[in-house]
This record gives sequence, structure tokens and C-alpha cells, in this order.
Amino acid sequence: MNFDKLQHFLEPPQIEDEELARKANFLNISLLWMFGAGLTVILLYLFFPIGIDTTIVYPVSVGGIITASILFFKHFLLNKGHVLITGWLVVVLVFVALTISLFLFGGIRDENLTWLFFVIAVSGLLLGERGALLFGGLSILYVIALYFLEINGLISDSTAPAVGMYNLVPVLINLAVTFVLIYTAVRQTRISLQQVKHHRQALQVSNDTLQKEVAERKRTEIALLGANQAVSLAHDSLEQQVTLRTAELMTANEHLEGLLYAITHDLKEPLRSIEFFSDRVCDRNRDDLDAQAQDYLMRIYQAAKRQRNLLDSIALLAELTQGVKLPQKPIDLETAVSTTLKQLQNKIVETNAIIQIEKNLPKVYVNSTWANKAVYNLIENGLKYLQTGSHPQIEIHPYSSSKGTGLAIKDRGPGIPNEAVEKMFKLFQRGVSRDIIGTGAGLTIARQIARAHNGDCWIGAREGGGSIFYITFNDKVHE
Amino acid sequence: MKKDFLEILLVEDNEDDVIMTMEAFANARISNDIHVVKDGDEAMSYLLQKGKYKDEAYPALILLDINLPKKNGMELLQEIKADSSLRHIPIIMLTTSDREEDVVRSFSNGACSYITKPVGFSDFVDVAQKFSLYWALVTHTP
Repeated sequence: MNFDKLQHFLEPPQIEDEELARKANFLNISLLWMFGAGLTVILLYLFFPIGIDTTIVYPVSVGGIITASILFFKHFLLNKGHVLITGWLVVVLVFVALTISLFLFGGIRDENLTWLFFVIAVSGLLLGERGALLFGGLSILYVIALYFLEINGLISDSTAPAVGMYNLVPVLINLAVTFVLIYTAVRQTRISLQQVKHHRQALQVSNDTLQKEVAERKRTEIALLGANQAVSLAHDSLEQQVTLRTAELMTANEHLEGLLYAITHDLKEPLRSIEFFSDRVCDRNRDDLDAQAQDYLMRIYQAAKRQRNLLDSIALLAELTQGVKLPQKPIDLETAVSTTLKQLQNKIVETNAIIQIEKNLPKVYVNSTWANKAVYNLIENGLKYLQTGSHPQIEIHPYSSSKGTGLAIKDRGPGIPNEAVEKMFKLFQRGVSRDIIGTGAGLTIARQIARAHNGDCWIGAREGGGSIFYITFNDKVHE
Repeated sequence: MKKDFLEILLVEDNEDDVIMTMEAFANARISNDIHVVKDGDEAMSYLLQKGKYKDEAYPALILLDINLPKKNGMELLQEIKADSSLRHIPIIMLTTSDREEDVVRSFSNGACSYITKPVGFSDFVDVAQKFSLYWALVTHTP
């Protein structure tokens, strides 16, 4: 515990200012050395008095005692940052000590001058260039004064030989050289310290610049924030408009749906009657009618049937626009194909069609009712459109590309010229004359079904004549 | 007063449809007496033997159109199934609507079958023949 206190006492003072701390530290170490030297000399004299010259012991003892007293002050003074005061104190006390030793212990001797060099060194370091100059001059004047005092017999030691003027010359040279050396050292230290200061100032300047930049950025940020708020306001008002428009559209859609239902269902009611009764007349009253009347009646019947098919197609497409619910499990397209072939059995037999199905048709995520309808339309197309005098030859292959997964249905039909391909997909646009029964909606419906399943339907030419009808569906689980 | 043969009640407002149904049934050799009423209210009067219908027996089967004036077919179906004295009569929906929700609602309200009105005479006769098969079964019901 006592050791800790002692250590704290001996430690350099805690000063924040770097330059001041350096000076204080130097002062601290010097005083400790002075104290240590004085203490050693006194102890040696007390325990081994023989052989030690009292002319050394007395001045050193006085210096040591003075230094010890300063040490107690310095702890308080240095830690408070009073480095300059401490420096002055040291200088004054050392001058006093030197004077006392000269008067009390018999004149000036070379070894005593060591103190003067020390005074110059410390004062120079503490007070800078001008201080060093001042103290150097003062010290020289002081030494000269003391010499003259001793020469004139004002101070005298009976045991020592008299001091001659010639003794002054080397002492003064010694003083001057020490002074120059210390002056240079102090100057260099000051310069380097100033460089540090400049460097620090430069840092401060760049710091200020940085701070300005930060402030500028902050201003920009605030401006951006304002702009953002404006954008968000605009966004809100847009959103409101969208909501309003959506509501309007919903209402319009509902009206349209009602209209569509009326068209596709209520319009069919009278058609049923037309079909039914014209059919009955043809059947029951055939004998009462001449050939022309029978033909006209048949035309009425066919027209009604055609219109019913058209209305059915429209109803189907209308239903498709409402969206299709997709299953979470994959459905085998092989099933869709075989179901279709069963439905078309009569027609296949009738037309002597050759149908080849490749194995491993893909699995896709589809609504099976719709997928069956699409596949049905495509295969039925292949059975309907033929080159004159030939039988249908249909091949069904699996298909997979970046466009999706599905089927490629190849026929040996008349083929479709490139410019007519897209027309084929338009509602009620027929690729052939009216001789072939059909509404002209089959491909439109197939494409709509495929697209409702994230797929597509398109036509390509087949090598050696005919067309390839591609259809793809959703092949991933739908979220 | 109980009749010797079982009677079918056809609830249908469209006269064309009545003729078509009658003719198809005749052609399928279903010789049951078919009684026709034109709307829901009249059907209820008939079933509850009100007014001019006080002498009528319960029909063995009801053929019901959905699209009716005044009380529609779906409402009538609910009403009949809610009446404990009429609940046992099998009801077949006979309608042009093929809307999924109509089909589902019919069955959940207690209809025992749902037939979309056929198009063309031959289809109508087909349905009537299938119906007569079904008929053979219902004659055994109480």
C-alpha cells in the first residue's frame, strides 16, 4: 500500500496537453535524479565519512535538501499544470543553494559549476529559446560576479588555494558551449513540436471540411425525405384512384357477366325449341312435305344447331376468363389423351384414322376437365381437316421446351400458311370453308385453356406436309 | 281418393318445354299421368291439396325447373323439403342451367337428381328412357 503511494508520488504528472506533459515529465525525472544524487552523497558521508571531500558534500547536501522540498511541491504544482512556475522555483532555489554553498563552504570550485550547467539546461528547456538565452547570460554574469567576489577576498576559504583569473576562462568557455548545445536542442524540439502542431491544425481543417460535408449531406437527406413524402402522397392518391377505378371495373364486369350469362343461356332457350320442333316436323311430317320444304326445314334445324354451338363456345370462353383452379397434384396427360380418344371413337372409326401415341406423355398441373377439352379440340381438328382423299394420320408426342411442358400433336392435314396461323386462333375465324362442321372456336378455346394454365398453344409446320399443334401447361406447383 | 297409377308433377312455365317433355315421355313409353303446373305457388297448392286440387293425391315424383316466375325452383325445392308431409317425394331438377353452383345447391337442398334439359328430340328421348329406368325404381318407394 505504501509502495503504491510512493510509486504514485514518483510517477510523471498526468497532464493532457502533450507539450506541457513532456516538459513536466522532464522536470520530474531531473528532480528525482537530483534528489537521488543528493541522498546518496549524504548517506555515503554519514556511514563512510573518511576520504570524501567536504567541499563536495556540503553543496550537494544543501542541493539535495532543497530538491527534496521542491519534490513535494512539484507533485502538486506539476499535476495542476504549473510547469513554468515549477521551473522558476527550481532555478531560483538552485541559485540560492549555489550562493549559500559558495559563501558557507569556501569559494567557487569547478565541481560546483555543474549546478550552473544544470540550471541552464533546465531553464532553457522550460522557457524555450529566449529563456535559454536569458538564463545563459544570467548564469555567465553570475559566475563572473562570484569570481570577482572571491578574487577580491570577499569570499574566502583559508584551506583552499586562492582562485586566479585564469580559472575563469575555461569555465566561461564550458558555459558558452553548453549554452549553445542546449539552445540548439531546444530549438529543434520546438520546431518539431510546431510541426506536430501544424499537422494537428491540418487535421483539424480536414475535420472541419468533413463536418461541413456531413452537414451538407444531412441537408440533402432532409430534402430527399421531403421529396419522398411528396412521392408517397402522390402514390397514395394514385392508389385511391386505382381503388376507385377497380371498383368501377368490378361493377362493369358484373354487368358484363350478367349479360354474358343471359346471352349464353337465355338465348339458348328459344334455340332448343327451334331445334326440337323442326326436328319433330322433319321426323313426323316428312310425308306431308315436299322436298324443298324438307330442305328448308333442315336448314332451320342446322342453323339453330350452329348457333347453339357458337353460344356454347362463348360460354366456355367466358367461363375461362373467370380463371381456372389448378390442382396441387400433377395430372397425367396420357389420361387426357385416352379420354379424348374414347370420346372421339366413332369419328376415328368413321374416318379410318391412324393414331400413334408416344409413351411417357408428361404430367402437368392442370384442371383435368379443361385440359381434356383442349386436347379434344386439337385431336378433333386433326380428324376434321384432311387433304382430299386421305385418312387422318395423327401422332401425339410429349413436348418440352422453355415454353413449357405438354404435347405436340402432328397431323397430315392441308397445312396452314404462315400468315394464316395467328388468324386461326381468333374467335370464329375458320381456316376452311363451311363444309366442315365446326364453330371456329376450337383453337381459340384450346389456347385460352393453355394460357389459363400458364402455358400456350401454337402451330408449326410438319415436315412432309401437315401441321404440328403444340400445347403446353403449367408444370410447377402453383402457389 | 287414391289413383291407380302414379303421377308425375312437372313444374314448368315454358310451354315449349312442356310439350317437349310430354312428347319425349310418350316416346319413351312412360305412360304415367303427367300433371303440369306453371309456377311455384301453383305447385304448392297442388301438393298441399288446396282449392281446385283438393282431390289430388301426392305425386310420386316431381320434375322441377329452376327458372320459374314468382317463386323459383330452388325456393320451391327448399319449401317442399322443409315440409314433413312432402319431404318424401323425390325431386328431379330439370333445367337449362349447367352452372356448378345450381347443381351443388340443388343436391344440398335435397334434390335426388339433376338433369340438364336435353337438346334435340333424340337426346330428349334418351333422357326419358334413362328416366324410365329410374322410374322403375321409384315405384317401389313408399
